[in-house]
Amino acid sequence: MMRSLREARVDRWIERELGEGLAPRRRARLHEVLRRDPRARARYDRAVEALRVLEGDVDVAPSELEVVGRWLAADREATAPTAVLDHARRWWPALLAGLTAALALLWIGSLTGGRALQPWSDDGWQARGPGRADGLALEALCGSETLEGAAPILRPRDCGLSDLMGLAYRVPADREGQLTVFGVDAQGDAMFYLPTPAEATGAAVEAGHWRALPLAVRLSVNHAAGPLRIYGLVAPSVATVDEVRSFAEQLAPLRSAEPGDPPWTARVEPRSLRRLCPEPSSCDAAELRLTLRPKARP
Amino acid sequence: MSVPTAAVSEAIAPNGWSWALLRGFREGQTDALGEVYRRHADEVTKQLRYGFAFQAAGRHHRFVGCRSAFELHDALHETFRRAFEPPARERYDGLRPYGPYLRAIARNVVLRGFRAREVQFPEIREDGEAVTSAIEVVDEGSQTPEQHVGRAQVRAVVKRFLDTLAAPDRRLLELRFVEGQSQRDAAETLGLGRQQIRGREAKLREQLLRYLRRQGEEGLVAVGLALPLPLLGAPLFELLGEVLR
Repeated sequence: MMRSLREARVDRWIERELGEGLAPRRRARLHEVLRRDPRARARYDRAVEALRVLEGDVDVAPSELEVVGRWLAADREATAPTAVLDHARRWWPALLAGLTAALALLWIGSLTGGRALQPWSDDGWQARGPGRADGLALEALCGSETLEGAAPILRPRDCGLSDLMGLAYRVPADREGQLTVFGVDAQGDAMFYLPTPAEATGAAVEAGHWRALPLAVRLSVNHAAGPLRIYGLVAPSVATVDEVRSFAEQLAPLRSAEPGDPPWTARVEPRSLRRLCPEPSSCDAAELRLTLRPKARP
Repeated sequence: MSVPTAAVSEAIAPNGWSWALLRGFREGQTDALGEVYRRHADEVTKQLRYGFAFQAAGRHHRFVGCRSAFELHDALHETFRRAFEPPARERYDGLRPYGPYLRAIARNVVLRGFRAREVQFPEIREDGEAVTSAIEVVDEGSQTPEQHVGRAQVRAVVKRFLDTLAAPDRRLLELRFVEGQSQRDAAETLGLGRQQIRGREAKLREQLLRYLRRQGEEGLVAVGLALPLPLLGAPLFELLGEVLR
């Protein structure tokens, strides 16, 4: 018997919920389905039973406790904002204001040709590929987490583990698509920015001048001091979490790109890009490198 | 010898937690609540999974445990959600061990369903008075025969899945779940980052679940889950099986 599209969708939700976890809204929809549909619940139960066997033939799999742990964490975020979230919420408008101010400076600088106003130079080493100075460009700006106020001072590529990091991009006027951004840290671990395991969305690019991404990264979370490479890709669709993980695994052992190097999309297995970039012209890539400073001792 | 002992006793609260954990828990700090959940989730899960016996109004009852993993997760979530609410945290004195306190909340989550059924279908004595219930509880702790059968079926599917894996993935699973190494230790053994280990584990879990779906093991549902299925559609309290005195 053919499974309905609805069943297939619920199965994908179950797999993701028991893997990386679903975003809260989709999780609520899955729970609604599981409560009223015994067949869907039986499939969820069978999946959990398989995980119990996989994880040592145990009565309770560590991963299922992690699942409920995520639900509890989501409750806390929803009902009683933690200090971290509260802090991030307070900080985000200031970050956006700072990014906007920095980007406006850059735009005015480029209109007037006044390089002194340009807060950073992105020429040459974005590794977009030889002869492609007009593709995607990325920039990272950091400000202290403790800064409060309307527009904190943001430092391009000068970031430490006590900072929050904002990202900005620029694409040529004729480019459309979805932006994927991820990082690879000193240990070779993947850092998810757009998309994340909890939120599988990218950002539709807006062409023209520099744009701030709606993203504030707390570098004290999951990041290690040392080199951090940030990779961007504009493609017809956003990369999946699995694709990002695969790119990160392939790029981690490679050295950072130097000026004149091919873009990172030419340094990974072509088949891993087949879905995202069916034609080389359908994608633009960029890479930047910064060094995260350790937290300052009090 | 006496100095370290004194130092240790000062660092540990009467319930066996560190004072910092107890303080963080009372203040509702995220890290502390996460730590308390990690310490106690396993015992509460087992209680909810295998059930317990209880006595109400002189009659013996048995909660046979959550047969559905989703209902188990739901009840576990509800237990900790209640336990972590500010009034419940404030009520906990930090003197008694926290495990029994939590298990009492878990039993209340289950028995709330039982009481709701009693309200709908009260037992009436011959004199026409409703029987009131005072509940006594005894924990139980083993798998039912149908849980054993279901597990055996799933084991066969997982074994076939493991046969499809490359040696490095099998090695990772062996380190983590046979040798019981932490993610950090497994990362060190394999020369990988901890995030990479976490990512590969999540990927393997999703691969297994996709394999399970592709196998279309309808037989599993028929044999392993057919017994509880009629119950799964019902509210939790319908799982309460009454046993003879």
